[in-house]
Amino acid sequence: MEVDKGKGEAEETRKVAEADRDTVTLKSSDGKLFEVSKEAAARLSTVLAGMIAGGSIDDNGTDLKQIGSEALENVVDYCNKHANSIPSAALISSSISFNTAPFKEPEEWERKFVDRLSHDALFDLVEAANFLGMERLLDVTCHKISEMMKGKSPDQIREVFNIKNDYTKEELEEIRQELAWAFYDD
Amino acid sequence: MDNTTADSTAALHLGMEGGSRHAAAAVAALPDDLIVEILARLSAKSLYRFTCVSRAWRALISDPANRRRFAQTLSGLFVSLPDGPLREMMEAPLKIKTCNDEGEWTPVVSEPLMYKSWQLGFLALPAISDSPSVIAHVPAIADGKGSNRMIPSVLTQQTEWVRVDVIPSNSYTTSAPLAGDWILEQDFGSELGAVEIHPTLFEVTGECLLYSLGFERSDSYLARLGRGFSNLNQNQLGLGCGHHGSSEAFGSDLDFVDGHGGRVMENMDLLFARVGEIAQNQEKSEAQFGVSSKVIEQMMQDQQRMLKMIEANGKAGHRRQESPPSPTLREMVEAPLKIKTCNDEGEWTPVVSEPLMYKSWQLGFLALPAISDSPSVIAHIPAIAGGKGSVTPLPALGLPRLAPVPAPPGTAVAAVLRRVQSSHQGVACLAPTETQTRGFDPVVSPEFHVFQLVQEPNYELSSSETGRWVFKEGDWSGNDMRLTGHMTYFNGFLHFCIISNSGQSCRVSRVRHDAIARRILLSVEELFGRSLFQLLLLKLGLFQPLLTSTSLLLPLRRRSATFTDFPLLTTPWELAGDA
Repeated sequence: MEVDKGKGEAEETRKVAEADRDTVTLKSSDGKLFEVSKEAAARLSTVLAGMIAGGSIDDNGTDLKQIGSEALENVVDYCNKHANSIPSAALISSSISFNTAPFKEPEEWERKFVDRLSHDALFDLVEAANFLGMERLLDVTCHKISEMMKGKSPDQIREVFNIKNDYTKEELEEIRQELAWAFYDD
Repeated sequence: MDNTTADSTAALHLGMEGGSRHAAAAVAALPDDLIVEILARLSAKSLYRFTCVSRAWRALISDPANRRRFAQTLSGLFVSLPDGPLREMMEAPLKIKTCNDEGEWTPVVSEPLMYKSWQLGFLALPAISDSPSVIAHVPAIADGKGSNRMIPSVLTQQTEWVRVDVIPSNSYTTSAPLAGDWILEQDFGSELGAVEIHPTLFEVTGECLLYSLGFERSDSYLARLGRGFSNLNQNQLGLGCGHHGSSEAFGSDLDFVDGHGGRVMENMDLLFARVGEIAQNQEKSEAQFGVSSKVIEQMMQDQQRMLKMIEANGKAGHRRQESPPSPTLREMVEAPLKIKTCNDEGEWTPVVSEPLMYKSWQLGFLALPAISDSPSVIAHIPAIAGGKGSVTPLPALGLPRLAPVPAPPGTAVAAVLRRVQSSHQGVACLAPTETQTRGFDPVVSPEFHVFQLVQEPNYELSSSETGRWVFKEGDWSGNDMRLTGHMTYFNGFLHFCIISNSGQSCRVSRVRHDAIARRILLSVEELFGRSLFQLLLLKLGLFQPLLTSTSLLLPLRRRSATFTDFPLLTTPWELAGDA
């Protein structure tokens, strides 16, 4: 990853000169530049696809102010490494909002991809994927987070998601009673 | 970078605590739709456990718009009809009749129920014989917010309605949870047993199902609006069975109707508000339901006309004065409740609780106050999540006998059992096979499934979630000749009850449904071993329909039970404690 990043920065200057490129340069919120294959970007991200098609790609680095460099690095990493094995974003984009079918299981390499991420990175990546309209990546990251949530207590979840408990003790007890079945150990 | 990754990975393996502090900033900003994305991948158990996390999460989890994406428990469309293989019926093309303004009926052959039901927003019950089918609207497909109320059937003269004729021998319960909150009153069958086919009218609009039984008058109450209103049915379409009442709840709306009469339309504006909504959804309705704009316009005009008419001749006021001095719906709703609860010893304790209106969404219970001195009916509105309720059928107001439904101590589970018809009221009895059971899961319902097993050797049930048939009930052996079997959905499980021919044994199984496998576990021990489970058993005396009706709602604490443990009561809807 360090290599990728270095490459991105190094290429920044000469890329300006190149007219017809097959890559796009993305700029993170903290100003770092990353390069990703145009084809992969367009295929995996509905947002980038739209930008490319609409000509709003900046050769000097398209500003993605909402995405930090670490997350963007992961996004680029994901695109570059695995673009070829992923179906077009357009094909699966419709499955996100209305789908009631079971979610597609992540593939092995996708598992590994998210497994190595830190907690922060994972949550950042979810947001980045959401922002960029990368349905599959969103799927994979959400899947990972949901896996981590399994078997956790509400307390643990609160901690992880940084949520304040705004219930009273009595209310919690009431819910626990009503939802007793959900609190049984398997 | 690599170090960080390694550390965090380790932390993840240990639990989620490791990264939480850092994650906090980022995660705090996670928008709701992302939270929903994540929650949608959780098992039902985890999901509902996490309602404890925060109010915001609970709201997300219980929001009907999201629920369809979340894990379903044994969700499905369950239809039980006494005659004929269920599956065949469901998969057969439907015979539906529609009626135009001239009163001409046109038969329509539609897709089979299974596919139609969740595709088009309609749930239809195929006819058993040549008679027209039942069609009903599953409102939630349209926009996730179904509701249901009574039609003022005056309007039906000029507008296009779907007509439904129900076979007298039918009795069924349906629920299509994945599609949204939906339940169809199935009283028609028993109502009509001795008489004739009872017309029921459904209005299909963009967002709701309206239907009317042939009451002279009807009252409706919309919980969401906190208001009730009455309808005067000027064209007496039905048989005018004055004692009949029914109620339904859709979404957060509870609609009930009192067949006693004596109440006239008080809140026309409510109707008009609804018409306004319908008009707003006009295009949508057209596209989705093939309701022409002309029909909707017509309907609005009809309502306008009706209002003018009422204003002009003061009919509303006039009628109202004629009304018997029964409390208004609102008064009833706002009055403190008289509820009885029952403990394990079978002792009843009266409880005066808060009025219905407030109680209903605070405690997850909806209770209908008694009209007379009889105990109230209490029912659960599962939407724990403040205000977003779901289906709970409630026994009819205004029946001579209300069903006292126990709220067992220490639990928040209550159930509503349907009344039993008795012949000396001039109503047909339930046919022996037309036993009904209803129950609901306090948690998972809108997915409230109760249905019956009749004397059919094999039953399959269909899940709307998977679109598959999930159960084939053919393994009840051997020595036990099943008199009746019921399934009730409780605590996230589907319970089966079988009572042997000899009355000596009670077999219960439950369905465990997890994300991986939905299997039926026939295991007495498994259920009886878990004392916390509530089991609803309903036995209707099959060959003595007038005499016996026993309902039990009791904690099962023993590893085995026999039928004789459950005293047979001679009055309908008495509660038997754990004898």
